[in-house]
Amino acid sequence: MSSSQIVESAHRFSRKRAILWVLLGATLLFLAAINLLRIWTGEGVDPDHLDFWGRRFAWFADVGLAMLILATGGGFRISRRVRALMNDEITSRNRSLALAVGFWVAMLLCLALAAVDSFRLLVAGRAIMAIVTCSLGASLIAFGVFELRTYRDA
Amino acid sequence: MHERLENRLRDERTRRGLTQAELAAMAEVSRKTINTVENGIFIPSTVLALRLARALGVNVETLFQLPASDRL
Repeated sequence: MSSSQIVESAHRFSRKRAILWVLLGATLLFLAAINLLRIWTGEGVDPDHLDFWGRRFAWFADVGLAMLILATGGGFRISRRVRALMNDEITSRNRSLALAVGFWVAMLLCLALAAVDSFRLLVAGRAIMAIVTCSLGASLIAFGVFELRTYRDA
Repeated sequence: MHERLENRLRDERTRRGLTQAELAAMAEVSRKTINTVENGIFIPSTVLALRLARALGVNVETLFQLPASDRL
């Protein structure tokens, strides 16, 4: 593959990847919203419920995937040279900014849940899941949006 | 354009009749890197600045300079 083909492949894959990150982040935020609703309505956790373990497994898989993407940039089936261009300096900077967004979302949600806990006791597991899901979702959306912004005028 | 760095990357590239994709291939960087540096969204590292300068056959100072108000 020539240098210009590698550059074009990296360009194409990077754009698609950024869109996928936004979609995955939005899905995580949707799941977090459902979880927060359950916290608000005071629904407890029942390990004997039929789909409890299925839901837990799905959550761990989703969150694990999101963490893997944030840590590595993904694209493991793409050639190493193309991947190196996709994960260049600007992407590293965007990742740092996105992780900072996730950190602040986590802090704000912790404060909000601590405030709610003053009035009604929260189920720790649900609160932890909401914080993790929300902050990862926000990070992924931020990562995707920052990446898409770098393509303006390109 | 970033207020702390003046860059002439777009001028030097277009003067040679190169597209962003062609310069990216010559410097072995991504198109988004060229685009963000040209638009002043991203301040390149020393390594990247040297790589861009080498690809265009100019000194780094030709491409990137501190604004006049920042010079000693």
